[in-house]
Amino acid sequence: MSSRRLPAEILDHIVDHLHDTKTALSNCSLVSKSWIPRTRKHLFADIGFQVALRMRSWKKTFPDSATSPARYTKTLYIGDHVLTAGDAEVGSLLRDFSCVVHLEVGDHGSGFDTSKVSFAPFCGFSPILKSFRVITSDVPSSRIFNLILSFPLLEDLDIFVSAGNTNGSGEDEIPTAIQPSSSPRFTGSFELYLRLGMGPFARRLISLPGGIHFRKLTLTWLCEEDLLAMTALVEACAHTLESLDIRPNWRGTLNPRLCPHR
Amino acid sequence: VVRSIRACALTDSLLQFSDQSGQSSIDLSKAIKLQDVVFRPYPRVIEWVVPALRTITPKHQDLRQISICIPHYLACPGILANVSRHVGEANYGLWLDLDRFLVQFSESCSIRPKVVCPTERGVEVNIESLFPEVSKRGMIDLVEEP
Repeated sequence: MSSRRLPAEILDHIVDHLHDTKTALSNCSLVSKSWIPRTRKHLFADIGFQVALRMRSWKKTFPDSATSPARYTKTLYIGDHVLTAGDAEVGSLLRDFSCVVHLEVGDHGSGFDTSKVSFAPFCGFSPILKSFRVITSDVPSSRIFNLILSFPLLEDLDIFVSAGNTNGSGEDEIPTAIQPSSSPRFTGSFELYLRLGMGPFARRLISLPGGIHFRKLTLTWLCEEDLLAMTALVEACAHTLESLDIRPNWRGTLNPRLCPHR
Repeated sequence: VVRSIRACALTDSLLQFSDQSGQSSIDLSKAIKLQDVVFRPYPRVIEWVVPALRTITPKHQDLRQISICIPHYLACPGILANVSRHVGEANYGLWLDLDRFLVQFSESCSIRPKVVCPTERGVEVNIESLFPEVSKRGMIDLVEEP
């Protein structure tokens, strides 16, 4: 007896209707193997790893890259404890997430050693990444910058560094080791808050070979030097910039000496 | 590595700027495609707003909206009675300068500035204290913070 199957487009339509109902999607995925791909598309669209234990659990559950649902993930969140788990382990995890479009990396100042935070395994892990958000208490923006350059289709950037190494070592002034021959498109929105000042980061961004073409800028400034950097960013995007949101840091006073890199 | 001439010029410009002091605002004169600008001054950090607004010229033909967001700090009932005492006389003078400039700005650009208020009670009084002239003339659109 031949089995009766729903036409694929009808099945897709039904499953898509359930996109925000996890329980129903889980049940659908148990109906038939043919239902699995479409349900996985929604079930695994947003994945977050706040702690290393969750990351290890994922790898244990889905050890085979060829069948891992990671390829359905469009939005990936990586928390602080995963950032310090070690490059090999994180790299092994990220290899499966090659279709991620939105990446959020965050540490929330939970008292761990930020010097161990490594972005190396993230470099270029998803060639189609379009949006990158990093919220960190104390990671040099130079490390963030190098990571950004590894995503050729990047459009939106949101960078928030709330503290920073204030010992005056000038780490953020270290230039990028290799100048890229091409750079991301940067055609979306750009939100920037750097506790140490946005000057060095803005300089590097503006000097990229492809320039920057953001349509929206949201800039938080702390000192006079930041005002200069903001003006330069606005000028660099002058031909595309449609929306601008500017604010001083909430504790800010117009203090030329506030930025330690001056 | 060959960089575009424009990028070089901008970088050099920024590098030169970083050796100067006295920049007190942001220059928007070249961003003539701007449609929407939001200023979020803080009670004691407001001196940059009027100079920034002054860099908006008739070349900004696409500009549709200027928003000034009122700090939450100023929406506290305890502060309403005497805003100038809480922000300081000098800073309060800067708020009044902004008020006067907004009058000129809306008359010359035919753009009604939007003042975005925190949702706390008594905000209307605060607005009249901070923007007496534009409030009196009805030249601003008051909206609540989303």
